[in-house]
Amino acid sequence: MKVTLNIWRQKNVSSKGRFETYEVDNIDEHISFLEMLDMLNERLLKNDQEPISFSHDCREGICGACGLFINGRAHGPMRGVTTCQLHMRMFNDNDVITIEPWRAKAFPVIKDLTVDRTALDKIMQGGGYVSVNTGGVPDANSVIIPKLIADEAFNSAVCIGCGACVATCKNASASLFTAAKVSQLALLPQGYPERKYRARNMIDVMDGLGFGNCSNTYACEVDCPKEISVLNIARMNREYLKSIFVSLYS
Amino acid sequence: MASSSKESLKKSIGRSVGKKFIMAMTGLFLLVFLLIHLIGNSMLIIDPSGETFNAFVEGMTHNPMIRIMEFVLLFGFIFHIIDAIVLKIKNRQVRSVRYKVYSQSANSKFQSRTMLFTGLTIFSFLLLHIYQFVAIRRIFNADITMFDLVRETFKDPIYIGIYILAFILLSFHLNHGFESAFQTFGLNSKKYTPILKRAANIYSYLVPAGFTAISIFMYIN
Ligand code: HEM
Ligand code: FES
Repeated sequence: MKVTLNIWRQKNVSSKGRFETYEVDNIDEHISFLEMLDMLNERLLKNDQEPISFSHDCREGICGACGLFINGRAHGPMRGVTTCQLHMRMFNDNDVITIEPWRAKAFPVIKDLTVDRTALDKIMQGGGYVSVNTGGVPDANSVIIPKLIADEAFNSAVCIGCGACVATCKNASASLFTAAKVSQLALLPQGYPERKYRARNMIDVMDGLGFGNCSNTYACEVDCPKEISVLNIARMNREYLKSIFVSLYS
Repeated sequence: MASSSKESLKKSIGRSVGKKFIMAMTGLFLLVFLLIHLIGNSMLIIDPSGETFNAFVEGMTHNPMIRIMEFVLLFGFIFHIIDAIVLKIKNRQVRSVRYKVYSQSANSKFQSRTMLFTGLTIFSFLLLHIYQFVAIRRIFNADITMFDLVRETFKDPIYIGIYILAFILLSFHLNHGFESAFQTFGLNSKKYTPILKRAANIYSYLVPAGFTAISIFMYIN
């Protein structure tokens, strides 16, 4: 199959950037989207042109490194997949595909389609440390966690930090990411001692880094490759309420 | 970990989530107000002579609780609108380069994306509404009963058109607002999501439909 690509090219953080059009032909429909970009890059290299920069690592949907805004959606049109797990069979022959980097002030473009997502790490750091018991390895089942709670914490912990939620949100809000991190620790005994301040501290960092305010459009949960639910945001809001209540009245 | 710095009410409300709490609190208050308003209006249908309606309006005007609530309502609106604008100003600064292709309709409801627009149109309608039903009697001291004023106003098909349009937009606003407020308060969970969605639909269709039906009833009579 053949596709026409409109790709955002930008030299570095401070340059302006523009779209360039490329055609890629002879694509096997079973290759992945990134492999299709590899084909293009090989051609560019062969012609002594600058290859297109994009992030990727595991290429199996678990690391969170990849992330392209494809035809107006974070990670493209398919639900529950990362860009690396998107395959060309999802597109039609002669499709025109627009590829843009995650666009958010908090995610500056480093080059072409590669953005700097350090801001997400800073939100995690804002949560502070997690107290754990040191000493010997505890016996299995010495800390009992009901299965439902463990599952729920796991559903939040599957966040790979790709930033799709921020990219797709009309307000470039990091609420879903932050809420997933708040949730996984709020649900488990390991995160309990710092729980009272965690949501508040993480929200402070999130606000300070220039992410927008959540307006509950729920686009994030639709484009999240791990399908993390916005109910996490409700939990973060609850944690926040508790947190300010505790802080104001103690 | 100890709290890193001293918390104050100002800080708590100032954070993104805090501002949303104000939005949701004032929004929920307005939802309740709207329902009470509709119950009042329904007297126009229950007793077409207008006596019950006039008596109700009289009762409201002399009830000190209601006079206090009028101020609360005014401030509810003011905080709701100012907060909406403050939230929006930040949200406009977070993406300096816009997307060329942005398929928002694929992952969110348009009601949720047009809250400021629907809100501001409701606000302009509100100004007209207050002029017609409050200012005329209270500021310009027109000597007319509320019922006669309503009957006169609803004789004009253009006004009925504006009225219905405003309520369609309000319906969009309420449809998202209802659900959103509960989410903001953290009162959303697996169990409650379907109930909330249904309640939001019922409220946001029935309440505006009620107001509209009454206006058409007045026009026909
Ligand atoms: C009878 C009138 C109104 C009612 C019942 C109402 C109700 C609500 C409710 C319940 C919410 C949800 C709060 C949340 O997201 O947590 C909301 C949000 C909102 N309202 Fe209103 N509202 C009314 C009038 C207005 C007006 C006049 C404006 C004018 C600016 C406005 C602007 C907004 C905006 C922009 C939001 C969304 C905030 C966000 O998503 O962050 N509303 N409204
Ligand atoms: S490259 Fe690791 S998730 Fe896509």
